[in-house]
Amino acid sequence: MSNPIIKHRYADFGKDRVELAKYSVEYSDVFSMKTLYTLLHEWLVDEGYATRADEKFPEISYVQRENPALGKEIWVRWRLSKIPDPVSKLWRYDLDIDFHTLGLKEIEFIHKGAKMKADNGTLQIAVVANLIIDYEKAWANHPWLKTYKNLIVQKFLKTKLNFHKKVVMGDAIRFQEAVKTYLKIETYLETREFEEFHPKRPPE
Amino acid sequence: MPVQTEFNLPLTVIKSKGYFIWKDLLMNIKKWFESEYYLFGETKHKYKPDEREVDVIGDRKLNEYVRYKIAVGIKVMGLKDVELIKDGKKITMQEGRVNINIAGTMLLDWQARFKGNKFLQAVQDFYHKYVIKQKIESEWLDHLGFKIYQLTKSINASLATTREGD
Repeated sequence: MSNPIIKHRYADFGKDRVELAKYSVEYSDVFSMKTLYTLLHEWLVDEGYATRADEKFPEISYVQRENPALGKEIWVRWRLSKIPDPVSKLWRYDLDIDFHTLGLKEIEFIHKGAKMKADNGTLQIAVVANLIIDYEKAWANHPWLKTYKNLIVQKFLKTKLNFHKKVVMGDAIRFQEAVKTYLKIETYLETREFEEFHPKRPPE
Repeated sequence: MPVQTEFNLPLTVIKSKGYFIWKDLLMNIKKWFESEYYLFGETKHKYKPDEREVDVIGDRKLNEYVRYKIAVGIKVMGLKDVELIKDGKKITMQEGRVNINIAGTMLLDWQARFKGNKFLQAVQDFYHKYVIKQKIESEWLDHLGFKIYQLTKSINASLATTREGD
């Protein structure tokens, strides 16, 4: 039996993977990990990156280490995909989200006369947004489409390609704004994600 | 030897200690990039109660061969909110030590049209050395340098640290 080959899931895509956004948000102060986790899950469900079926949510890893002196360390990996046009089988939006918290400790505080719980520690959220072209390799395995795939995508479907690039980039930026709105960090867009309805980090 | 397609300008450093409005500083940088037709993106945002670290990048395709990238790294230490009276009105500003690095890069052949074989590389070498040499040195690099100077002026205005003669 041959040894299994370990490779990156994008290794076969080459130029068919277009990286459109890569950023990280780091935060060290009081926040609620549970609320943030739930809010971002909601945002992704609302935007069509995941369904309400929790068992199908693409959380590929959740590692939690607890240390009474140092607090909790959590690693979470979400690998989300969205297929905007299932008929053409050509475009796929991928969002890779990594959470890492360090020294997370539960604290209690009084807010408007009520005792509330939150977390204090360091959080890092790293995001990479990719546009995948021909994600099922249907064109790459076709007898004659494989020869003209690049020409068709880069020349005849250029407008669509640019449209999908803008959508992926926009989604990544709005996700960043959603994280920053919850954490009450300065944002850039005129209309903030989660502005009115969703809670913000405590204390107000 | 591979043909040089990436040209880095000297790093511009702004250091300031005083009062400023953090939100306005970020928005001014964003507005400047957008007014100059750069694609703006924030690659890092680090928040601590008294410290901020933000990396932003602006990317502009000048033409089919030349592309500019301007990376701005902002670090603020000892940040705190202060209330000041300006023109008789009470305003909230921030006080702290600000360190801003601006790095400009010019990329040639960003569509990688000359990549592929040695013949094309040789053509590109000839093209750079004898056809567009003047444009690289005295037009595009100067233009990028001037744009960084303008951005520096805009940031200085936000920090209210204009020097004499500006």
